[in-house]
Amino acid sequence: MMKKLIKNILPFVVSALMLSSSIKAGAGDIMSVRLLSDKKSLLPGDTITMGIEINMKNGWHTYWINPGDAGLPLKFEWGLPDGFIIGNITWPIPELITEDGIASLIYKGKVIIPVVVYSPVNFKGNKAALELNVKALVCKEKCIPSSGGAKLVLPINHKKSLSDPSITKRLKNLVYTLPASYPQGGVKASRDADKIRIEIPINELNGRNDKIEFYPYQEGIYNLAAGQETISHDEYAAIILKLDDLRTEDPQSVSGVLVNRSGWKNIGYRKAMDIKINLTK
Amino acid sequence: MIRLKFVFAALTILFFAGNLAHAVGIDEAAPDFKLTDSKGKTVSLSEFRDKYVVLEWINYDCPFVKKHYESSNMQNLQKEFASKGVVWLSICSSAPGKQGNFSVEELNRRMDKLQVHPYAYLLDPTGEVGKLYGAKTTPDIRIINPKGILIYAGAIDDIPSTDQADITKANNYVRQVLDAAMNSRDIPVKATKSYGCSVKY
Repeated sequence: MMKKLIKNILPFVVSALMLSSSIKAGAGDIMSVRLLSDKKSLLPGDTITMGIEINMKNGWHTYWINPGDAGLPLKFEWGLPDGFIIGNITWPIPELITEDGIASLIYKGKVIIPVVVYSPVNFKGNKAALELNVKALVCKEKCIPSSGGAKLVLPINHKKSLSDPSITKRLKNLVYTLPASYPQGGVKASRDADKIRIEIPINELNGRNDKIEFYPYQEGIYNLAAGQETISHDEYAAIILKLDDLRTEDPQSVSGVLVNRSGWKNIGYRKAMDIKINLTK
Repeated sequence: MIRLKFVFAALTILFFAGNLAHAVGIDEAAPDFKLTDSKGKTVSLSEFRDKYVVLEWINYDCPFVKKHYESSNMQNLQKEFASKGVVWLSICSSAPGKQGNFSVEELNRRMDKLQVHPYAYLLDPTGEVGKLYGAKTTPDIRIINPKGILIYAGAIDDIPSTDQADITKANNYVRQVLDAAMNSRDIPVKATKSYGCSVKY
């Protein structure tokens, strides 16, 4: 009886141990990293949606893909088995902070950054170890270069894949704060002297009271500390951005994340939209 | 007959501190300033008319500044261009009590230990000169030609990191701009995005 019990339980115990995600903290434990996976076990060829979970101690922050006037963006160094490929990384909406005329685009506290990982169809092993080292600049009143690692070992099942419903749900719940691609529409961008204007037609908004913000991917172009002027009109809403006096170039297009806190109608009320719009003459 | 449409324009201006509202731009005249240096001497930019001047925003405790000083990269640049007649001014715009703002004794101790070679280390605790030049990070570089024109603003090199190993792999903008300007060639790059810690105004 005991032998039968052990024989039935053992595979689950082994699976649970293999799924453990180890945490290695960086620079005095200010930052720690965890890897989340929407799969508990993989069928070779599976696409995994992973979450890079970065936790920072209270009061500390790190930076978005465009860090702003100072700081450094996060850097990911992966250790993957043969044939595994990193796909799209989706960056959650940052927060803009400004102090003494210097603007930063940051993440503070906890952030989960989804990333797609493709597993090869011809993978022969019985487990896959996925390792990540995150290099970050973490700042409070001073900045400290930091790193944090995580490792996730996923068992391979050559017959079927197994989802992790709780992680799947957690990652799905992020969707409203993650940028989605802008479908064809009427958003326009133009330049007037040292200002850039992004205009959104009223039929793409919920109404005149939508709260709209823009976070540029382009570094060294905008005076982020000057803030954004927003205009509400019968037929459109507009955001006016100021170009930096010491900008590295004159932009020919506007690319970044357009955020509507009331949600964008044309992408199922998700709050963030990735845009790349050429400036009209 | 033109029907007047009611235009409801609600202006929401999110205006943050405009301290860096208009900094001197590329190809503009570099504004004069007067600051006290680490030895108590008054130094004015106008003293160096007819020379190339490098302004280097600094904070010895910033990891990006440490990258360039603990590797001796910055000191070597200072020496190299001093021998060519370039005036190198390190400027600290850290406010009292903030990172990088040291007592004179501590400052001189740091400068000795690092064997720094600027022409002078200038104290800008009110941040007035930093804001005049739009300095946002440490390091942040401005290069002024002998006619008093700002010819470069931005990063020291093209690999934003705190890693000393990146220094030899990087293209050094200070060297690139000064070599071109001093040999009457077109300046290949005039403005880059600086990288570093924020200036602690």
